[in-house]
Amino acid sequence: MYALLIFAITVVTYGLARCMEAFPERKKISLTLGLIGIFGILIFFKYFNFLSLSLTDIFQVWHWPIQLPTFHYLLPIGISFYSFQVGGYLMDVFRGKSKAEQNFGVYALFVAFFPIVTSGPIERAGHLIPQLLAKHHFDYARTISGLQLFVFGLFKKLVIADNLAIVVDRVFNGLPNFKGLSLLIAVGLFSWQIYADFSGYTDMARGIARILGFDILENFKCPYLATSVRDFWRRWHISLSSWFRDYLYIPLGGSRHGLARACLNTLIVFVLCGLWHGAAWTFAWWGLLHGVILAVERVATTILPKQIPVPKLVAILYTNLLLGITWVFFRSSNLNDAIYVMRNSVVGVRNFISPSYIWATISQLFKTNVMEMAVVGFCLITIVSLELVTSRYPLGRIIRRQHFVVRWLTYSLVMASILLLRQSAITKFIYVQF
Amino acid sequence: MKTLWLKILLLIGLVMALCLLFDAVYRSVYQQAYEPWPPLWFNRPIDQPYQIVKVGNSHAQSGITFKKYNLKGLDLSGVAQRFVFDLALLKQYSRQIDKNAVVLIPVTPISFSHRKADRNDGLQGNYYGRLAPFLIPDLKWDDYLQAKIFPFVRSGYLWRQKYADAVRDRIAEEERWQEPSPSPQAAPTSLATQSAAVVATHTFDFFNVNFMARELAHPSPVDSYKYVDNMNFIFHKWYETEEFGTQYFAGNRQDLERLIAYCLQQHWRPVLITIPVSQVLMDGLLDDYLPKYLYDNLAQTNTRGVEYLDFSQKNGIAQDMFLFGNADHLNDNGAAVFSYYLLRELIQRGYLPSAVDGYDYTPLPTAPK
Repeated sequence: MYALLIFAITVVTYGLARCMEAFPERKKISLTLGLIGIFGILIFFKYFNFLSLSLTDIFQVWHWPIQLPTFHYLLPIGISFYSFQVGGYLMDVFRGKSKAEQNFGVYALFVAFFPIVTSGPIERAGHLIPQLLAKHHFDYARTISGLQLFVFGLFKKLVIADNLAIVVDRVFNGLPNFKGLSLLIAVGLFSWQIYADFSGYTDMARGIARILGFDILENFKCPYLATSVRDFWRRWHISLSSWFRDYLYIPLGGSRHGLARACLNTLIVFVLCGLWHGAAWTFAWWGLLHGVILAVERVATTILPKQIPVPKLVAILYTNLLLGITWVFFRSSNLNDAIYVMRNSVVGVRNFISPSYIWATISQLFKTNVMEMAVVGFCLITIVSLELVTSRYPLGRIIRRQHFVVRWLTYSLVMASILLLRQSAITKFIYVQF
Repeated sequence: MKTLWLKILLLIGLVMALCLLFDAVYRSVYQQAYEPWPPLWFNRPIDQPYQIVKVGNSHAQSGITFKKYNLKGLDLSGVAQRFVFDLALLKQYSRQIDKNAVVLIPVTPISFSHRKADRNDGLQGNYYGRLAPFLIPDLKWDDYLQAKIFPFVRSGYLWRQKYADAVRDRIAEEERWQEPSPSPQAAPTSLATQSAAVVATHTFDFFNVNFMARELAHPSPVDSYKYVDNMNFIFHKWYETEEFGTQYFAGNRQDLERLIAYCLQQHWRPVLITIPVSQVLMDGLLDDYLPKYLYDNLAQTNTRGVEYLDFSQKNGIAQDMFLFGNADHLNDNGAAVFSYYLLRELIQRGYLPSAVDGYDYTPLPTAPK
């Protein structure tokens, strides 16, 4: 059923893009129809229940006994990703940045290219379609590089993300049992979990595509080494942030109409970016917080006469602190949980330097399971080290430079640890639900 | 391309060697023996094939015993076993079962209303070592391969699981020692202690036919809430969960038809039987328990004239709580008694010769006056 949906979207947008080229005088109508169709479907499937329940709540506040209907259906997998990809394609054709693809098969492949259809990266027509049209031959070096990316992506997901999730889930599924440092640790671990989870997926998708001869857009560039939240968004989920920049922020006026308008545009874009992740108020708040922080950063950089020199480490820590606060909203099941975490994170802050308090907190988090502590510690050290190492050189290049014994030992240990350190059941990728 | 594949295979070999090494350490630490290789094909023929076979769910597992049948019997029943698994197991053992063998197929309301087993069913793992993979319905291949073919790739997880269990037990033990011990006066009388007196009076050999007759003539009363609690649990499971329901009737009827057809095709003699459940359960469940869930289904199933023996209300077994482990399962005593009446019925109807009856007919000593 949902395969028919993606097929219908493909057929309609293919036709509309061809129409835009064939009848330039009607291209605005074609674009409008296309965008209404694509985002209408997205809103229906993803936000209908959310809007319906939210409106019912509002009516209840006003004592209006109106109960709006809700539907129970599964969210079509990858709809947020391919809708944006197709929407971007229509806008590129409208602006003349891309030509409407003549070959339906190639266009269908662009929409539903299997490594990226479920969780992105959100590709651009100008980047992927020429690759789909080109002839591909087996390339040993490229295949090896793709396999390396795939295996390291798998390692990030199954070993790092899934093991960090043990503690994160324990805390967020039983919030009343935790206070103070344990909440801070859980939020910190979640920020690395989601990074390992999503970047792991992206690496696997890019790896598979590379083996097949395609280069997919890079989605992450060491985001936790960002020195500001603005910098973070140049490094985190790049394909989405650049989509919002090109197709929403700039058309809204960007920063061309003064500081206040730029701040307002930023807020609009980030609230929508939050809602893109999920139909819940927690995501809206997550986006809004990012928008506010970015607006404040923008105001600060505009009104300050010159940049205050801040050590890079301090800037990175400041950014991670702010990101941690926003991740609370992203991870919490509802706003009450998020407020609980925010209120209770600093309970007993004076004890945070007491070794016995720290040990008691860790014991509670890990249920005194030393083996679990060791595994989670290993995962955390590994992902942080990978972040630091790959900030200088790409991982593939670092590996290629090693002696073959080191290389093979690394491959073997990584693959063995995937088998031996994984959980019994494989959890789904966090971003697949979006 | 060839070099690439060679390197990949070499790497996989290295990784497997590392995992095997790790697995060996894990097994030596926890003294875990290697499991035998699972069957990959039908079982080989044997010199003395089985002459009577039982399939079915836990009702058959706990309710039928071939101990006193002078026949080679095969137990293929299992907990929550559906007809599709009965069929798969019969296929697995088909070359070891005699041409004229009697195949006992229990039919209960549960058999017809049980949700179809799917690949996410937790019970599928019970068949990994018993059935060849191609016979397991809707096999979860990834789980099967990890559990049976490459078990060493799971040792990391199993080790962590065992360690976590040990830590949890240690903490529970420590907490137990820290709790103040209850004073002897405050100790409540448990249901187990209440029923202990009843158990003590029944220490006879249930394979003695005369003792059985005496027991059934003076059935033990319902003196424990255990059965009522269990009845409530079953009621909830039946009527308030997705696990059972009338929507599964048609599918299960089809599966039963296939099972019967297979038995007849193999020249076996299938017999449909209904094993008794306790009167407590019969009273507690809705009135349509038997008519709607069992008899209607049987009437709509093409049983190809196969004999049906209904013991649900026969011989007074349902009224004797001493024969039940809980509200719907016979215990060892009940199994001995029920199997006797089943055997007599099979002999009477010509399925088995009377020589197979190995029950004890010694007269009971008369009680001193």
